[in-house]
Amino acid sequence: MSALSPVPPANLTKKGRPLSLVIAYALLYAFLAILAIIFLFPFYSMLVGSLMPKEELFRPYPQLWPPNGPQLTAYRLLLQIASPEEVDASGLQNISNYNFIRYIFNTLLIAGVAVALQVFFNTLAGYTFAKRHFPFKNQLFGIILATLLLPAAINFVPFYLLVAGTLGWKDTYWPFWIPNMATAFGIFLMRQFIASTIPDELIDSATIDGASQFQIVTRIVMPIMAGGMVVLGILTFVTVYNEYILTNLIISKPDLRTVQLFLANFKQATIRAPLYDLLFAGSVMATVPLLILFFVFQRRLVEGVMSGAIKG
Amino acid sequence: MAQAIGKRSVLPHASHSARWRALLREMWKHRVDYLFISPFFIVFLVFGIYPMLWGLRLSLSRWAGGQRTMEWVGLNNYIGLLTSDPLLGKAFLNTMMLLGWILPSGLAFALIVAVMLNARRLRGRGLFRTLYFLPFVTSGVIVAIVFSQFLDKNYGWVNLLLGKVGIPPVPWLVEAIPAQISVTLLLHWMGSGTNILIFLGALQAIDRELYEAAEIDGANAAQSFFRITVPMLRPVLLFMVITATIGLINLYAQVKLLTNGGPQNNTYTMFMRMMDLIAGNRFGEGAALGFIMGAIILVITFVQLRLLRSWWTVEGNLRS
Repeated sequence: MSALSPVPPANLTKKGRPLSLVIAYALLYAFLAILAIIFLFPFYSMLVGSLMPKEELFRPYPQLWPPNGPQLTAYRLLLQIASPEEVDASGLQNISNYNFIRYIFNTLLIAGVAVALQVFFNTLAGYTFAKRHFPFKNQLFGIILATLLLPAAINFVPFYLLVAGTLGWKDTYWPFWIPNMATAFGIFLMRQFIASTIPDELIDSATIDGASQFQIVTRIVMPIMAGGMVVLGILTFVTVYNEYILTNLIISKPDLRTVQLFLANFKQATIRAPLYDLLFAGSVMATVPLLILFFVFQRRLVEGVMSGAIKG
Repeated sequence: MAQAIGKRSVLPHASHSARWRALLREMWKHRVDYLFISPFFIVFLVFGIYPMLWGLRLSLSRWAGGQRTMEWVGLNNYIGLLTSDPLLGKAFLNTMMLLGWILPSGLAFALIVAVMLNARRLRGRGLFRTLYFLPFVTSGVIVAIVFSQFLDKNYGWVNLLLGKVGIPPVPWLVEAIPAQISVTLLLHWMGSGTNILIFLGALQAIDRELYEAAEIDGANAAQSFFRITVPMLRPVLLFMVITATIGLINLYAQVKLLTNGGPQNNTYTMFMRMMDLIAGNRFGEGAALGFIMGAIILVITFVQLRLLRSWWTVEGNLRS
């Protein structure tokens, strides 16, 4: 813009940039930084709250840092390693009902198997739609895309009655694994990834070498598509890990509860005077696995979400 | 039919049955392909189509589950829900109100931030983008826990900050309008990052040369924004509007744990009604409500599509 204007701008800084531009960028950074603080602050308050005994949480004004230094009592209680005095002081009736390790394990088991199934079957179907030619291929793919438009609310009640009643899957993890083992979104995503990254020649030469379709998928497509499978895997993991509605309906045995169900039950049971120290410690421990995944794969994840929406 | 067979098609004047046989032979040859795509279709038939058809019959019946008999009631469930269910009417109004103010404010906010992040000489774009996207990993349950402490009348951060500028404590979760604002704030915090990310991706996909050409033609920044940026964003805008609408109609966990639908049902959602019907073993009405919610989603999506498309053509005519 400035290169084209005939008169050079009057106010220049030392590096020769117009002063107005420098001020604009300073304001921009300030705004973006404040926004970053707003987005991060709930995470911070969760962490600080988990390090304070609940008397300190119920002061007339909230604290940015534990006044008497950080305390790990809430974590010790949830991890079942608290001393008998701490258990007594906490006022919790039956400490084994707060066995957080068990709930984390349950959640990881549900999410882990769901991810493995979804990534495998969606890659298999995504490859077939991206690289194979067979009768009714386009019609079948059209059906898959059309199911994306079906609102899930339509069959929520009969679906629940089917899995919990007819199939007898109440208090099991099958409802989280089987009905979603292949999804329209996953097939669509993997088809896009495979069509744009794997050249046809590679598939053709493997076919000529006598590889079976299954070998082509497991030995050629899957190693190349590891990045795309990670994107689908994380999106699936986060969704299943954070699931609450179906879990709430299916799981009633305390031992089988997930992290989300435990935290939700606990919050509702203490609605009058929430035990925020324990709720926050549980929330922190529940969020840490996802935060680790997020930071390790954030570049891929960001690209996956961006391209999923734009191509879709 | 011959097109479906592809290149190795049979002769055009082959008899009908010969063509069928050739098609079946072709399909048999591709049995592995069908096997590979079959999991989706099996699962969709068993857990999608079958419950939906059975749900249609259920929605016309009264049934409390288990061994109890199913009693045919015709359209009574639908009529009852639509005419004499005070909670559902309230839930519908709440959802429409949320939709009415969350969609415009959320999308405008996300677009403004995305445009800022797209500033040409900005450094640390990736860092900001990641930080804003962080709420993506949190669950509705955990966000509700954190926000319920945040918004606590006496011990929360929001009232502390408002107090610093002289505003008396607001009973966030106790009064109608503040509770609705609380839900809005929570949803903005949770969802803005994803919207910013999608807008930024779309902005970065716009060719910079378009802006340079516009500049040479003498367009100012505002003209470039409304004549180039906004039109190029329409496909993602459409995607976001529709996903947000479906998300709001299915809203449950966050509100259940933050306000439990209160005060006086002012944040009660349609999905809460569904869960309450299930909890009360009123499965016929629950199934009917599912179809009503599905119809509402389809109607709203259709209206949004039409509105965005007409806006599209009006602007297109203005430009030419």
